[in-house]
Amino acid sequence: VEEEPGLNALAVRLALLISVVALVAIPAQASAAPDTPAAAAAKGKGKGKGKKKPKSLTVCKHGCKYRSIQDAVDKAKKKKVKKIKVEPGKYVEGVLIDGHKYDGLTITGTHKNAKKVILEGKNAKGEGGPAQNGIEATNVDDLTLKNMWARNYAANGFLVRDSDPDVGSTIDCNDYLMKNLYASFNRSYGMYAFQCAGGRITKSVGWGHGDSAFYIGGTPIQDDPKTTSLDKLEAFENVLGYSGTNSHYVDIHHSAFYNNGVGLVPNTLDSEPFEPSADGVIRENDIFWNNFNYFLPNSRVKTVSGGLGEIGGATINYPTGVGVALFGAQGWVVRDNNIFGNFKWGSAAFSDPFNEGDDAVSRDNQFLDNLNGRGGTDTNAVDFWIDGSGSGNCFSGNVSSTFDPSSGATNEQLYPTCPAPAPPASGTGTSGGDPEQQLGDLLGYVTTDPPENQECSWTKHPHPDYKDYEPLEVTPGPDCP
Amino acid sequence: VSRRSAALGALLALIALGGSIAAVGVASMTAAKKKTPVVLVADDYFSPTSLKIKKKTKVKFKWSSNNINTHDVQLDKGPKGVKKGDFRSGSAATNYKFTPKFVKPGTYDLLCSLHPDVMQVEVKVKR
Repeated sequence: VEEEPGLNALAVRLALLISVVALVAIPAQASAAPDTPAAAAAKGKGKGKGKKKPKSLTVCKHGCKYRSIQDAVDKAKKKKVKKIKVEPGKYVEGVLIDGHKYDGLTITGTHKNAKKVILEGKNAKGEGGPAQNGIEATNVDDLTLKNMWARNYAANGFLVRDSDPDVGSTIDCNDYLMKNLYASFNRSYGMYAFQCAGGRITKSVGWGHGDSAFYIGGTPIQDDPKTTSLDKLEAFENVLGYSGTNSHYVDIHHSAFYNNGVGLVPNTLDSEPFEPSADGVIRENDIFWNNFNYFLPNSRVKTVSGGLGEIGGATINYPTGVGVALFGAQGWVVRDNNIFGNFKWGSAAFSDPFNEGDDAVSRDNQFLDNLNGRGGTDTNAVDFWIDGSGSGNCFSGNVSSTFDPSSGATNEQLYPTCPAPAPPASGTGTSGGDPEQQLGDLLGYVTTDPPENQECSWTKHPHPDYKDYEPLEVTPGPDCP
Repeated sequence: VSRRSAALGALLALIALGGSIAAVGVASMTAAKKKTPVVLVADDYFSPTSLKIKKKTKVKFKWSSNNINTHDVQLDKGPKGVKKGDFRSGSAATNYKFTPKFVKPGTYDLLCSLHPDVMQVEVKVKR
């Protein structure tokens, strides 16, 4: 069941103002649209010579030539039109855009309020079953998607991707823009880019996802790297706010990640190309209250039923209660963030000793100048947790910091200031970490049975008010031993 | 350190053994129930990972209802003259089917292009 996020009073006033403006503007725009019957009649257009190529195609529920976005997309290829305007309404379909003939295409809702232009996945049909994605664009450069809301899809809200699995091939997904998009309660991801170079997701919101609201998958290695920018985003009530497997050159900034299981998780996995995840930045974000216990029966979001895998008969699940988790990541900088109210770890970094090829070693990550715990009023259980693996991970300039200790290694070894000394003065240099941290704390936590009992080890407290946000708590809570 | 390595090795072996048993189980079950061969598309594996069929046979790729991840099926390599475009599904998570027909004899290497290193399936088509 879909629910809208809360809006503050300012947002409501802005929406009202925009609505009034739109009410005045839309009739004029519709009458001017070149592809509507009224416009064609007014201009005396007919068949034959002199027929001009339209600059844009307009989609609407009533009175337009195109009543589905897909119809307009198909026509745009034939007519070489680069802009599709979608008027307010609910479009029950999954849109497919395939190939470079669509390079430079813009699909935009005509209303600045993204919630007015809905791509609805519920009851939407596609080839082979239910429609899987609100919009899936394959091998398209310079695609722009704006002012829309994709919800309830079997897979993803908005997906842009390169389809060629050959890691050395030409990059066929460059410089997309996703702006002012909403994505909610899609099964996998809200906004998803795979094997793309460059690109930006901005002023967008994602909630209710079984994986993450925003996901940047395997990014091709580039000699002159293009940055992928994620900014002015909000992610809440997701298993993960941001996730990026084997992503590179990602700059995540000026966004809010709250009420997720984990706020942000750059990670390295065997399953995608371009291991490891490297060279990203997480800066100037609000990362708070990521204590969403979606394992509880009353959670509106469900995650993978069988867990992430098994170790010795124990099921591994995602951790919860964590602000930032660098999982097998290298060369990430986490700086100037406001991190508070996460009941397990504010920030964490760890390796994956089970990775084939040992590509998921935590290396050269820096935690700099982060403001933790809102001056002691809304603390993280501990601000930093590290497993003691890898090398070059360091911590400098962070405010009000607490570090999770180990009896097997000193804090100087686990949490050195920058630059970190070489192993064994700090880190093991390998994917194997401090036993107490890696095999005790981490493994013990992610194999908690039942997984909702992860919450039993949290350090909880009431959250003081923060802006207009509301903490999310699934009730009833777990039955702790 | 050596004790921990041994423990990790044992755990890896357990995981590998578990995966093998699961794959065999699914393969035999689908073979018994369906005339059209079925390949399960799951997070993040195909099952079975190889099969032999007669020419002009369809294979049904069926997405698991438990998936959270998105997957597709694509032809990586096939017999000469076979078009890759004829073996390309959409990107899907659940409740999705893709049923290509294998007309030309030879070996078809298919994969999930979103998880190419861990999701591969070989289809051998006999004359």
